[in-house]
Amino acid sequence: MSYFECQTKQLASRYFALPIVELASQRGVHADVILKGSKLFYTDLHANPTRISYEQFETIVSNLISQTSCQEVSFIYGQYLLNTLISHHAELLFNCHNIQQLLKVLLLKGLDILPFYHIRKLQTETSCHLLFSPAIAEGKPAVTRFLCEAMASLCCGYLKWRSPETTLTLQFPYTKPKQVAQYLSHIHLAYSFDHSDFAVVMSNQALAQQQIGTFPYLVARQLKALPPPQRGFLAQLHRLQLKYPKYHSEQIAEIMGMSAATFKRKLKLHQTTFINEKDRLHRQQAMFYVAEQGYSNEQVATALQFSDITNFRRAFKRWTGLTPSYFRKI
Amino acid sequence: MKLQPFLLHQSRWLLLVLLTLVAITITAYTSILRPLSDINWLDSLGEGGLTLMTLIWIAVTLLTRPKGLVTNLLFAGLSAMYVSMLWDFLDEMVVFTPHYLTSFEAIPACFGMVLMSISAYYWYKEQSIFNQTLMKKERFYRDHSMTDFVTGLYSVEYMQNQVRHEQSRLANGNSPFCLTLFDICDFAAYSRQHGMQKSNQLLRDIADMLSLSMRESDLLCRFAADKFVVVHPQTNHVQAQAFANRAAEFIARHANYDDGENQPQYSAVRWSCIEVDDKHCEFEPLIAALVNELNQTKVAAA
Repeated sequence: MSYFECQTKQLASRYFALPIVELASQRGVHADVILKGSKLFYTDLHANPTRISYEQFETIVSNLISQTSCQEVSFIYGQYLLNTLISHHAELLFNCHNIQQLLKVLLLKGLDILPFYHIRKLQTETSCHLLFSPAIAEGKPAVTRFLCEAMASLCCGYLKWRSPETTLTLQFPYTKPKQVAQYLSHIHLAYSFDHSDFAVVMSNQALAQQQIGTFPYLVARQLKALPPPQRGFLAQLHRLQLKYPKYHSEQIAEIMGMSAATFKRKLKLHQTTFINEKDRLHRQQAMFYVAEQGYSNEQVATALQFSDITNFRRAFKRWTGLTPSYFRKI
Repeated sequence: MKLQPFLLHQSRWLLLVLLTLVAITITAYTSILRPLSDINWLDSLGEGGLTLMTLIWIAVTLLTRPKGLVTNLLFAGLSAMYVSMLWDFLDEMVVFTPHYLTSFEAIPACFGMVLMSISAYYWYKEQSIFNQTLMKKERFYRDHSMTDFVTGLYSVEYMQNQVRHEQSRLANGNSPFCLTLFDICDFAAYSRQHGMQKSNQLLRDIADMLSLSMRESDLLCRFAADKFVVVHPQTNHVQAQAFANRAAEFIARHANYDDGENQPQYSAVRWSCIEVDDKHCEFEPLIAALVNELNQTKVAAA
């Protein structure tokens, strides 16, 4: 099972570096300012097969956000990705019969299209929650915000274009920013702030919403045509943690083909720890059980295989800062 | 390295180099070196620093200003000062023969300062013309850090301050003011079809047309994406709606030409307008109400 790390040059510069530099230069910021510290030169980006690493992408985005004239670039970048990267996969995505099928394709092949986040789907009888977790490395808060804004703008643009009737809610994992005009203008869907993960929530009826002008029989062929998936480091780790919930870090390290010490070092390089990522997955599931399924503490503790309720309550407090009963109230 | 800023004033850069060479050559032919013990190092350091600073001023002038009368005057004045400074500096290293040549050192600087004073006058005139063009885009206060680079208008943060200002005037018994939000129809499709640069151009064009359609007392700002917001001080809802309608009609008549094609393209704007008579209302609910009303217009149109 192949995966790549934050220093692997895996991301195509024509999607993940060049447009950011160009958008900044349209706002009067020189390319050298945006590329500072990334060890990239503007001329490199034009060479066709150039690939950059996630670390370089993060540097570029950090440089961009520090420029006051570039505050709206995240949203514009999302629209740009829609018109280029997403349209590049048009035959696959645009032909999905309805949102349900589109979602299946994204869960299967999403990382090939947009490698930064992987999606976890949790469903109740009435609603469907898509929780986004970082797929390569834990991002800096400002970069996370940039990516969330870009994804939200991308999502809005896509639905406006391909399925205008679909309504869903976007949840952002940060407090309400000052530039609320950008959100009011670029995002036509409902949204809220102060959540734990970037998430898309929709009713189960919305899943049946059809896309405009589709040829669903083309989807299967296109799915086969895509190369085997290249997951980021964290996406691979989450996958294994979900598959083997009882495994220790040594056992996971062995599956990923490295020593425990190397594994620990790599986790640090990706700005996280083994427990941190395990907690993230548990937290997502526990919050979903409590808030959406209305489970009692006993039920959640049993479902997450905790030995007793006190342990679960303590863990929940550690993940969210709130006790389960207080979390239920708000 | 980007050569463009240097190419713009190519002849002036060459002139500067030539001037330096001529000044040094004249010195070389009319002087002999001072003995090392005779040199006042601190004085040399000070005068060398002055020369260098003048050179930096010239470089900055050439790199940042467009061609034109003011630039020429500034360049000429600064260059004359530079020659004086250079001679003054070299004077520390050499002894002029005949000795009376030293007395001529300050003459170019004197001419230079006269030229600079003339350029300051023309600069002031130039600035007044710019102020004129900014009339509908700026009110009472200048803060270029709040401008939007794409359209050259002030951003919504600037508008926020102005709205607060208008609200405080409401408290003093002024009549209500209006906020109008304009939105370009089908901008996403336009952007998809024509690309980012062309859509930025459309934003600039629409910004210009909106500012043409406003009164001198109004203020136009970029909101976000394809939206613009106008504050109409001391205006009632009916008047503001009339302004918005006229602006929308004006924009609908504007023919926009694609690169290399003669087929005109027309763009339209839709708008929403609210009257503000509550002096305590926060800015965010106001703009949320504006956007909400605009979205309803959009739904009604569809």
